[in-house]
Amino acid sequence: MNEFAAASAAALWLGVLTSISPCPLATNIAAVSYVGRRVGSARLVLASGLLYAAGRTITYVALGAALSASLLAVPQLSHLLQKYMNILLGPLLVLVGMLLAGLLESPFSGGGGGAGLREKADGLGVWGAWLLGVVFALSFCPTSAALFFGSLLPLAVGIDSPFALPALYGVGTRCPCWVSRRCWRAGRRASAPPSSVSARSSCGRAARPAPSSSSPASG
Amino acid sequence: MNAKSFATAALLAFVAATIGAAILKEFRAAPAPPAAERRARPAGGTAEPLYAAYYFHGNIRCETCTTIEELSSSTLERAFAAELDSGRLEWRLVNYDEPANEHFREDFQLAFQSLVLVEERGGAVARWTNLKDVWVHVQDTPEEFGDYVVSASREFMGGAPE
Repeated sequence: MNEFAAASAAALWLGVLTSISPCPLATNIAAVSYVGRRVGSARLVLASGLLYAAGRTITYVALGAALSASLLAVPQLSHLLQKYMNILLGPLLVLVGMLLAGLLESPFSGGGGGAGLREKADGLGVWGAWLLGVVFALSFCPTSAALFFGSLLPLAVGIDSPFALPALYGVGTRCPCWVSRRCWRAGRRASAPPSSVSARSSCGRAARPAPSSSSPASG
Repeated sequence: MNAKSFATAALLAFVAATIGAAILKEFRAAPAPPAAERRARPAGGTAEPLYAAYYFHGNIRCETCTTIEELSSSTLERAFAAELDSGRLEWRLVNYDEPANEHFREDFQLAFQSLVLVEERGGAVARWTNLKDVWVHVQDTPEEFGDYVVSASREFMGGAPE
């Protein structure tokens, strides 16, 4: 039991180490922007955040289980993911940025319709966060590949835990996102009306005013 | 065409061009590469073990990767100066993304950029170990990183003299 607890703590810590290394940190910042884009609806933001975390975690669990069962060769898979996913990631992030900037319509939203249809489209759009979590988890860079394939997998195989440890690793990779989202929300509370002047959150970042997309009038 | 439409069209064209360039690059015939950066050790029939510290990297050199390379190299130069001078230990830098070096991935089961210690006897690889914890210790101080590399190297080399 002690061995499992120590391994669990190590898996969680490896996830945190992964998330604060340069390239995963960049994808996590993109994820925070995507997850927080419907900032006017706490329900949608929460759902997006949970789906993003689920997307990452499920992907790591699937990889961990398949690799632990020796269904896939670790060096070959690691090489393929590092080579091709990062090529795909660039164009994908441009498209996500265009979506956030309002240059593209969400593929789930229709051309017309009333508020009910828009709400339904938003609800479907949160699944984009899940997809983003899956894609970001598969986009291994040198640091995340080393920590996942070199440190986490041997640990998971060593204590015969191909599901729990990759899941904890996935949770760990999401931790800084939770912290930054809490900072963002704290910043928003600090800048709440009546004053529209930006305030500083407890995290030291300038709080952002609510985006116009949260306003029903802006659509 | 207004500014928004222009920006959308330009960015979509950029995305399409990026994907097209990636596909073209992948299918373009790779030219025969020159020999690796690796300095070949002359094949000889000596029973005396010789050691090599390989740092394997890819085309993508991240900041952490170059930090590990620099710390590993400087640590070995400091702790194993005599072995490096005598040729008993060699530092070798290899880009495993070059076609001529791709075999190293299979040879040493490389899933990521790695510091690998190799013992060679008679010009052939006798045994090797991947110091994979460099990726964890790079988060520590340079001294702690160095301690890990030195102790792992000494253990591998059978207690090489200081």
